[in-house]
Amino acid sequence: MKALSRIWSNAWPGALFMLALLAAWEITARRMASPSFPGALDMLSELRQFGPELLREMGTTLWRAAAGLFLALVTMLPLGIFIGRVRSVGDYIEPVFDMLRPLPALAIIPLAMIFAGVGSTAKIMVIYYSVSFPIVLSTIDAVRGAHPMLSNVARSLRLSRSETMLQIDLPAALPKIMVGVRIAVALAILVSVSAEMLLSTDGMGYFIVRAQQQFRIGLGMAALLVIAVTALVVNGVVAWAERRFLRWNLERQAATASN
Amino acid sequence: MWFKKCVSIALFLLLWEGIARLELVPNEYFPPVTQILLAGWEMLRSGELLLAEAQTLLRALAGGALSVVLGLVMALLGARYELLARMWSPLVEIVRSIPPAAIVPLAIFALGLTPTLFIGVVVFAGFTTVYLPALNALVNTEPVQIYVARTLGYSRLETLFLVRLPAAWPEIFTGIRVTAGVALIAAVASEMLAGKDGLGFLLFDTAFSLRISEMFAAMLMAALNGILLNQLVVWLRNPFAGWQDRLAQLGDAR
Repeated sequence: MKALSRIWSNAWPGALFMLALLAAWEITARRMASPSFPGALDMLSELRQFGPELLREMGTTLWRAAAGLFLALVTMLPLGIFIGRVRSVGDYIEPVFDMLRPLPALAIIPLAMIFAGVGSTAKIMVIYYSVSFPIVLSTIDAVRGAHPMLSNVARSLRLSRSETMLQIDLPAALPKIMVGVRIAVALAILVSVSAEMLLSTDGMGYFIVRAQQQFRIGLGMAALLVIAVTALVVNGVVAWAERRFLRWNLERQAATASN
Repeated sequence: MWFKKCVSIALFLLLWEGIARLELVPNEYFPPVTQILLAGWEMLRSGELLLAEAQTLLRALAGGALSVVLGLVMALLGARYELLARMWSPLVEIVRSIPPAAIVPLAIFALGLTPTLFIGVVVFAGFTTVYLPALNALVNTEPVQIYVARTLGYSRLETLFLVRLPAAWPEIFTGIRVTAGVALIAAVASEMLAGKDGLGFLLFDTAFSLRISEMFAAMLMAALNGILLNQLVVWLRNPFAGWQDRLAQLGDAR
């Protein structure tokens, strides 16, 4: 009960503001009475009617985002640790990433289309490309920024190079890597929707495009709401997992801050 | 480091040229670098590329600048009146989690194919990445600096503009840098979907008409835009947040 009242005391300005905004929107929409400007209630009724379909499409979108993200994690984490640790080779690979990074993620959609058509492969390619950068760059930074004492310890223990990477570099770098991963997760959903809009076959992005073509603006807004809520939930889960599994890091930070 | 960088990029381009020349990948899909540069040069001379580039860059710049102004004003208001920040925080969270491309269809209904459409989409996508770090930095000023301001008898408004804001510039500029990237993505994405002009449209147009070398040239141009905007932010950062770099150097020298 106490927790509930604390949440309320933090959230009431936001809740009231959102309600006021919705009310203002509904009133303006009633006044205009135009089909191209639906009110908040129209959107909610569309949401109720198409709820299951919206969730199914969102599932498709999330599935692709997860696939691209997984591929990027599996390939880019080792690559990042390698570039960060084996400087003699890494210094030659890193500039290529710096060179490719300014290219907007969506600009490679036409390229993906030419190589892989409009199916899931093309979309996952685009997601993979765009989320690779935050992951690999934060990993490189994290490995380079590790305390020098750690590599001395590794040397004292006579760990081999691959053992050092796996047992010392990876755990030490995890907190900083997570910063990149958090960005990557948000980006994956974003790019997944955008890719579906441009390579339209299915998923949430296509749903929005189709709603537009049928002049169903309320439905498009309902879809936007579903995307926003899903993204908030996913980001919340990632933040929660980070707090849960990297608690040792937070505790250490708190300890150094209090010194 | 410069030497390694040049060697690395040269190697990358050579590898590309080699793969394309040996036709390991069909040439019509993966043209050699030299051919791409030639196509880009042709497009520059015909004005096609330059026009699209100017449109995209202007949209990204105008939208990005507006995003920065909006984000900063909101952050300053939120830092001065905490209630305001708490009030619009759910709205900001929702806006932040909507992909910029997804609002383009609705924005076309509301705004039509006007310059306002592109700039509006860019602002929608870009202002949260200025606002959130700026608010965070403005609220979490070093306590010592606040004590000094209080000792000097500054009013709350004076503290905000003379102490909190200058101390927050480095973090604000980190946010602006992110926004610069987001602005470019949003501009290109809305051009792809609106399908009228600009670099985004050119990318799709060349891809669909199988002018692949031209498509790669347009991609190159899009990447150059990223470098250009980033340089602009770095250059703007110095008068505002350069003090932090100088401070860091001082710390190193000690």
